[in-house]
Amino acid sequence: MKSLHSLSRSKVLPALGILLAAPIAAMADEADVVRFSEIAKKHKKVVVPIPSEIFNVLDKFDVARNDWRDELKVPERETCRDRNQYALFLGRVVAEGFLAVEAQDREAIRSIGRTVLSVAEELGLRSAVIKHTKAIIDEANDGDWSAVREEFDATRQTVRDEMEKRRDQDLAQCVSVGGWIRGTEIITALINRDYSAKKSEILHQPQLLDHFTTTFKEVRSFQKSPRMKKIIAGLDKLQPLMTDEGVISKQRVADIQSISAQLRKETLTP
Amino acid sequence: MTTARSHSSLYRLGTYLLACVFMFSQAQAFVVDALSFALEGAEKHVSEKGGYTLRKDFWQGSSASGEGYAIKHHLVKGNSYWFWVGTESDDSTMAIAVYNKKGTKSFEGKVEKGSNWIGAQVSVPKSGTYYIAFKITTKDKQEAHWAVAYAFK
Repeated sequence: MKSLHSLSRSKVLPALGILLAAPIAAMADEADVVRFSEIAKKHKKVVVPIPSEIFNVLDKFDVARNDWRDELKVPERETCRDRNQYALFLGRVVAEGFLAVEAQDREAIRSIGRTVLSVAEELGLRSAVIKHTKAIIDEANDGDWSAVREEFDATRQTVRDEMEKRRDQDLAQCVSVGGWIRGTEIITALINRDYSAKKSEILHQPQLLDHFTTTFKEVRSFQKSPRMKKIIAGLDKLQPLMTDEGVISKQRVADIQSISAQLRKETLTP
Repeated sequence: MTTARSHSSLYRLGTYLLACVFMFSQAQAFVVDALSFALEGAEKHVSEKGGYTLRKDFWQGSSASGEGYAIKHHLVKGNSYWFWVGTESDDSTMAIAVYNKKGTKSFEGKVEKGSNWIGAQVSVPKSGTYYIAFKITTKDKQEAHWAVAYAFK
């Protein structure tokens, strides 16, 4: 029998090396991989896509400019009852801005830019927003449509950032929801003009809806507001229509359009 | 008259506030570093040639070394996305993956890595909510500060 001493160093050291290296390699492998089980239970709020992400996909549908123009409903500056209403209205006006960009309608963009500024003023955000509205109008005059779209995104972002800085998260949510309702109405109207399952796929948004309704239901002051109650009820109605199961049929698209149009009329218009 | 006790309290409060200011500015510095590393990964893709549009917003935080973390994100079919995670921790090992709500990972494109960042390209088969999961394992086992940025086209 060979004693340990009799084993040559050249045989022992590589063997030890393998034994020691195995767990180190496993550790390195673990560091290289992030498994679903490690993150699944850590619930976080959903990041809501910016309108440009949606319009970027709509661009690929080759919608005629006149079709976009037909859907345009340029809102006039209106007097709202409270800040929540102004925030909802601002979200809606910015969504209209994206539509005006697709329609390449300079006059509509100028008018929307002015309305955004006056609503921002009501919310105490004039100084933060004025640089964007000026750029929107200048870039529309130059016909630089992608720059106008980016500027509308930047406007929306600045408004939300300013509201969050002032601990007005609820108002920031109103801006998002106002834009989302009008955006959904626009998208469904366009899909219904030339329906295909490929296009209606974009309406699979159950967790986004869940995020909006949960957030709205958590705000106590919203529970007392008939306008906010209507929004919550409307979002609840949309939930089963925008699930991620199956194909969203032409009829379902029409139903979503009808609910979002009604919501726009009843809650986004002062 | 200010007593020795209140002096000591004031001193403690002052020290605490100074520490807070220091910690805050240090944390801000970490975030700026982490974000600049994430944007280093983004650079070539958001150039005119790359064609991706960078969202002018980012997410930040810190996590224990080797602890998985995720950002839940609604992704739209038809867009191609790049997500980048940056950290100020040098010599760390980073991992990234994109999962759907059922935990399936089958729609990932390229993964790119730099010294302090990692990025993943994703085109989802279906619009919906996805988990952008990542993990930073630091050499000294200290927590890692991170920032996430993304772009689409």
